[in-house]
Amino acid sequence: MIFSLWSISVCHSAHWTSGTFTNIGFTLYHVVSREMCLWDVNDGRCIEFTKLACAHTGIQFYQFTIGTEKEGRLLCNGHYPEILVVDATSLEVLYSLVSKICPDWISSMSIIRSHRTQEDTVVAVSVTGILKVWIITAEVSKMQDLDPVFEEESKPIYCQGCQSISFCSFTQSSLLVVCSKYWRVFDAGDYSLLCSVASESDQSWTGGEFVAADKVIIWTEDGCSYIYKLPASCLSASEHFRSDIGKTKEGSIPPLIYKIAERLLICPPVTRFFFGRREPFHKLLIQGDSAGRLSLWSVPDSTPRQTAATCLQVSSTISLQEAFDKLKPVSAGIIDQLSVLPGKEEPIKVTASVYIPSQGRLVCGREDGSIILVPATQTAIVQLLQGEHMLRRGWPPHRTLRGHRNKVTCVLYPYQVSARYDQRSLVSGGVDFSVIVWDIFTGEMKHIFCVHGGEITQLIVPPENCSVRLGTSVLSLLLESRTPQSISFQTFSVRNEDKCVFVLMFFDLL
Amino acid sequence: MLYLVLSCNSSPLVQMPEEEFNWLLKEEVHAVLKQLQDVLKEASRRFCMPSPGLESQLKQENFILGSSTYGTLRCCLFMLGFSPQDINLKIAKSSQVLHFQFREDKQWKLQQIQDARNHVNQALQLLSSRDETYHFKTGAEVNKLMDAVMLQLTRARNRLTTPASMTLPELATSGLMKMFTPPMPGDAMINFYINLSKLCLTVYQLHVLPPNTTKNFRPAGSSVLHNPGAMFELNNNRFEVSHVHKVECVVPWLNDTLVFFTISLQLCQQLKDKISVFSSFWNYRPF
Repeated sequence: MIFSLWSISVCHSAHWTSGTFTNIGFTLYHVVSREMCLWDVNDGRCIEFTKLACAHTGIQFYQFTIGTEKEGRLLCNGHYPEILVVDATSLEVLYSLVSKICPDWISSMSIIRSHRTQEDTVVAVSVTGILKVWIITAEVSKMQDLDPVFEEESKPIYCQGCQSISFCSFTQSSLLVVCSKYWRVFDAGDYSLLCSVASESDQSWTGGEFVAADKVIIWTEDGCSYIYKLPASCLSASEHFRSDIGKTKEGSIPPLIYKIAERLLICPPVTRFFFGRREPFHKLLIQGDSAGRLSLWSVPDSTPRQTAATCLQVSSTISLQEAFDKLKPVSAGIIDQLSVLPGKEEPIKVTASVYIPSQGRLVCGREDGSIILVPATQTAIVQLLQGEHMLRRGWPPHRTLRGHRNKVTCVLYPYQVSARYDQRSLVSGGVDFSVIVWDIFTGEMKHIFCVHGGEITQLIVPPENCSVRLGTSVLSLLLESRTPQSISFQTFSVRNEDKCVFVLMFFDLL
Repeated sequence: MLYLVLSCNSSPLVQMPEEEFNWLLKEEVHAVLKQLQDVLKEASRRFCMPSPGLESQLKQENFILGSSTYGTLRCCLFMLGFSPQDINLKIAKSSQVLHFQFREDKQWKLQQIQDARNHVNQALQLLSSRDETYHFKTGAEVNKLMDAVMLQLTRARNRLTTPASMTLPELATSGLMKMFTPPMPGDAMINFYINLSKLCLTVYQLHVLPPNTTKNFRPAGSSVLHNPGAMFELNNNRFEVSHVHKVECVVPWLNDTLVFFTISLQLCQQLKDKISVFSSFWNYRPF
């Protein structure tokens, strides 16, 4: 599953955010391009795809049963003043949860399932620190084109910059709201403040959860986590419940019983608390960071006797690199047998590639500036199957294009993206500041453009509905390495005639 | 600040950039961050968002949107915070003044302004998480912070410079059209938006296309401003835009905020440039 999702993410660029598992697959939302995709986790196919007008920052899956059928919805919040309810299968927006009082962006939300009634509650905090409560029912969700649903309750709780809100499933009577500089526990019945804890000066909280009826875990943006024991005033079973309401007791910090400290990550990791609902009821803290490492800590149920906090050791950890290194046999590069240099250990690296299904060809640009064209299936056979072909030299049959002086950074076959381009053109860009247009059938270099001011980082085809003048151009995008505030876009025409129109445009990022 | 250093490995000249870099991380970065915070706080003050519960402190403003090209439209708009309350329209054809009020039971606001304000607040939150007591250890940390702040500021500015483009049916069924009492006559549509520092009002006068018309019906696409002659279909009726009246007026505090955005973006970029001088000097050595 990891491998197939990895290969999918290579096609789209980075910055995926907000993903959630649904009843039929996995939904991912891409911040920059505003695309939402639904993947089948069994084979890695993209089942559904939609482009949205709004920017989401959070998605949660909500499933309910109508009769014998299970229906799924995605609740999305983001840079808009409502919560969108989206059908989990078709990715269509069905209706929205809006506010009458002080409508504003929603920072975080939580779905509270009711075991007794058909009405579930959505609790959310807006960016201005107002708690909102909506009631969603299964019957309502069946209809299309619904009027917006207004909030049941709207209460200012003065929690600005709320990072997460979670409901205590152990006691069913409290809410934990984590903001970057403090965390607070509220009574889930009337939303009154039970306790408030400020963070130390350097810490910045990014989320938290209840791990037991009387314990919470809060994690920070540099990967540390802390488990606190809640004071009696927060526990519904205690006789002191709600005794601190109305008193400002920000000074006292509840006892810290466990901590996971000394993790210094520059990129905030993703941290989640997992509580298994079936035997053996594991309580796990899971963290994934930008180095491709997944770490697991087992959260103990007992409270230690020491006064100082006990450090929790990691239960297990693995990274993508380690998983790759453990592979036996080690997977080889697709054109390794053509890239081995005498006297060198490592074959020449492939730095850019494009697969052309219509011709069954794979085009690989390499770090020495050469471009190799190989028949895709035969090349894959060499790596995966044993046979007579292994004895032949120079197999698979290939063609080498030489022209770039240094690493090839991108290759593009424009005809594949849009049929308005010439079938023969192949475009490549490299670190040597040049863009070369090749004839893919003869291997000839048709044109070379050398007036860029920096390394080529991307080659893009303008969309279909672009202006006529840009119609048959390929845009090359490069980053000036010395003056990072300008990106130059240069367009050149790839047409049947040998004439090429060359237009230079400079964009200043500011 | 630029050093021309010939290739020597262990001379004292190599020492100096390290000390200067340490100074940059310890002193200069915090000075720039403080400046940024001050500028953005000024910008945030322009949006004047009161804390919840203090609705009475909302900014009350009267806008007179000037007449359009041939003086065909005059509009006087009374706004409370981001929400319009009252609007007086005078379209030249009829000498009467059309007066509409915004319904109290429904809410409509200029979402562009709220979004811009929220982005500014997010930028301020990012900066406040790295105050004087925070010790930056690497240049990469500073770059990351600057990138995040610049992203929020660019988004804030884009919200003000890029009004939403809608199709005519979307305009006709939008929340804005349901806001008026008395209801807007069926042959008129209104659109409000912010464009840069201007508040713009567009009034579209429509006429119904008879079903057996000889005109070639082509529904218009989505746009910020539609032209006369644009056609659309709604509820089995076909309409054509006969006149478009557009008026606008400059909102002074919006102009100020745009200037603050530009200044802040420049401050961020200059700090990034200062960091990059060292990175290029050390030739991409991890620093």
